[in-house]
Amino acid sequence: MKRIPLSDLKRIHEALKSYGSVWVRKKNAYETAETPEELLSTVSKVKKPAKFIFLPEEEPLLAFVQDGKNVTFQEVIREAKGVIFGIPPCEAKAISLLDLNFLQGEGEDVYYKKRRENVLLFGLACLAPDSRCFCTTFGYGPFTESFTDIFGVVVDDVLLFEGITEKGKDLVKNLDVEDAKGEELKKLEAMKKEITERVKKLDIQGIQGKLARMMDSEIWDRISSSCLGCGACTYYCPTCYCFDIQDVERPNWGYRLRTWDSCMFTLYTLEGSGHNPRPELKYRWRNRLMHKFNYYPILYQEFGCVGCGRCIEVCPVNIDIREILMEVKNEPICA
Amino acid sequence: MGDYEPKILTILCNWCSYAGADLAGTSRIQYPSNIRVVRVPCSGRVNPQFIVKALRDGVDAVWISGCYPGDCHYITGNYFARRRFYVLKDLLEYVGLEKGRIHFSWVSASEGKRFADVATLVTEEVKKLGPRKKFVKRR
Amino acid sequence: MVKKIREIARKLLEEGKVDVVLGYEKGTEPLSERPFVARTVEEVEKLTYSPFAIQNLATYLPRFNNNKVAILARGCTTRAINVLISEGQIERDKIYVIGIPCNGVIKTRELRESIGEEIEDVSIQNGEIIIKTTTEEKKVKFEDWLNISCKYCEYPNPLFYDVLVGEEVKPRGGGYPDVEEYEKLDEDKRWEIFEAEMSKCVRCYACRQSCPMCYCEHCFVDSTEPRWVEPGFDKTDLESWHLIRVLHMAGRCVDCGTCELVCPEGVKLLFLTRKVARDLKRDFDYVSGLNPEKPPFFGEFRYDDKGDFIL
Repeated sequence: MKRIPLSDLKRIHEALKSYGSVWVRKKNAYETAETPEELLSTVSKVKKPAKFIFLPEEEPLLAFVQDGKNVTFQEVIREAKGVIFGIPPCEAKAISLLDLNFLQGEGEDVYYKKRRENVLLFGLACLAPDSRCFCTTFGYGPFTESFTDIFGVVVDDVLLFEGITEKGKDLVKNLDVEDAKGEELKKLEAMKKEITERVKKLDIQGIQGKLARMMDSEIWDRISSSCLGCGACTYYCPTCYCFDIQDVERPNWGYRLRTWDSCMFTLYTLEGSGHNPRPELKYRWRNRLMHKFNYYPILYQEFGCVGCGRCIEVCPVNIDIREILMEVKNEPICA
Repeated sequence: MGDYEPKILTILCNWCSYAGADLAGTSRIQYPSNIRVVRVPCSGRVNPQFIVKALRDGVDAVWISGCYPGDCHYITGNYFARRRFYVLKDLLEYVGLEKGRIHFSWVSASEGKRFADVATLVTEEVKKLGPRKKFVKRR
Repeated sequence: MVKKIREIARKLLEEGKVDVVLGYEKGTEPLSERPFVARTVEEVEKLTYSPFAIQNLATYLPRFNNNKVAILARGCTTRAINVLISEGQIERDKIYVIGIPCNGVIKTRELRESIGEEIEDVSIQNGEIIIKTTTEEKKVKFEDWLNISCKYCEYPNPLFYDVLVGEEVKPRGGGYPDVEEYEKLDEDKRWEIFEAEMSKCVRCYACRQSCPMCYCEHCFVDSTEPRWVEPGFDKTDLESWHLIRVLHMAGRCVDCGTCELVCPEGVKLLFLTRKVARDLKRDFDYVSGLNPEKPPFFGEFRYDDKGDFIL
């Protein structure tokens, strides 16, 4: 582990700038920082998650222009380069979950890839989990470094950090910094223990198997009773990635636009024929829960939720996914 | 400002205003060619969303004209339209779209000269306002 | 009051008079009084009520059309029920109205965000909201954090009910100072404010879904033929979305304020809906939701309707 006094962050900022943009935590969203002071963000949970850096709310995919009888296409791939500084473990894990979906195998998404492959994640331990956080439920915690390229912890007025991946180690190598002091590392361990224990861990043992047998349960009606069917939870969720692709037409040209979409909307699986496999909200609710806690584990051996609690905070009617998970767990099933 | 030739979406009801425009034409009365006419059966057919969309798509102004109250070919269409136009115009001006971009009129089938007068009036007003900057979709 | 609500609900369910009771329960978030559907006598024990109950429960009525429903309704809720009845969406004899006079609801989201820290406990006493955080105790005035529609509410008491819980309260006297203040501003300034607010929108449609009046199965914003509003976040699309929604609310919106209260981004919407409500009252003597027999505002006309703006 290396150390750098917070007063000296300017050097880190310079090093990060050489990679491209430097995103930092601002109150509402991750935004690019111009000054080194901005690296010292006091925001612990950014409202809009980091997924929007890789999967923007809207992005043009290609443009088409008509010239007489000819139509030409122009690919529009917006790349990203740089470092996200201060991303907490929950968000970093969320990015790794998105990577599973967008970067693997035949389904590789070139738009996501071009934005993801040149962006480093400089994670910082989360020092202020709030009452909604339940990240430890998913096998990691506020001090987990595994999903980042470089991981750091702010201990008093010093930033301790180390490279995790090859790219991260490269960045650290080029910095002229000292090794962390013994007592600082001790303090880090104490902080890690104390803060990790603060997070309320849920017991969701066996939930995936249970859900797999609950397709026809009556629980879905009850769970979705007060749900309005808006898309707030899916928008702010760091692992949700549903999108819509529509063509925007102009007289002689147009473009294909990808925008965020939500599985809670009626239109979600409405087919061109008019048939909708999920016509009622309760089916869409079932789908959402199954996706995160059954289908994702089947596909990728990982839950599709990182326990950040944003959905709880933004829900207009305060639907709490923790309560729902417990209800599912306790629901009797007649086999 | 001399070069600014606004494009004014003009929606005319078939039975009165459009006929009035026809009369202006056959009587060889000149009126500005800035107006782009769309014929509808009745002013009551006009959905306020047309106006919002047209403005957003870049039209410089919108002018809707129908029959005088009491003269509607469908008896009551223009009465319903009157309420809709009132709410729409007021709301758009309230949020700060310039006054003078949206116009409504009653012009009857026999008022060829009046049609030309109103067309001229509307065009002049819009010319004075200049090109549109607010609420136009650029991409 | 809470005891009485539970008592009534319990009796209704026991006697089979209703299938579900639409009320509120304490939520897991601080300052949250969330909608709750009680289906059994045990669940009735969870029913509570407080000025943090921001969601207008009438929104849930159309989805329970096949059941007999009891609903906890304050003034604006009963107005919404009237509009839904007049538009043929629900039937009066299928709902049992538990009327509850209302002193106003709090801007819970805004208040929660302004506190900034973790809130451990909240109570309301003597016109003050006392908020205990992990470090201190903050006191704010109830009146300062009232939803703007509630501040000037003329219909706090349910317009009709099958049973009334609590004492009727005095209306606050109406008025639209918020609209008037905005109107006085210069045209460009008004556009600046409007555009700034609309730009915050993320098209989550929480406002639309929480509104009792937005029950359309196919909303215009999802329409592709014709494409009224394009997908994406261009400012003009966000502005069109809200402008047209307000137009669709004209004469139907009951000014409950739920839309603005639930918006996750805090987009101001009431300055638009209340402007139309004020104009309809002032120029057409029309107030929505007072009479379920009366046709909707755009569904009728008078020969002497205001028309001086027409050339």
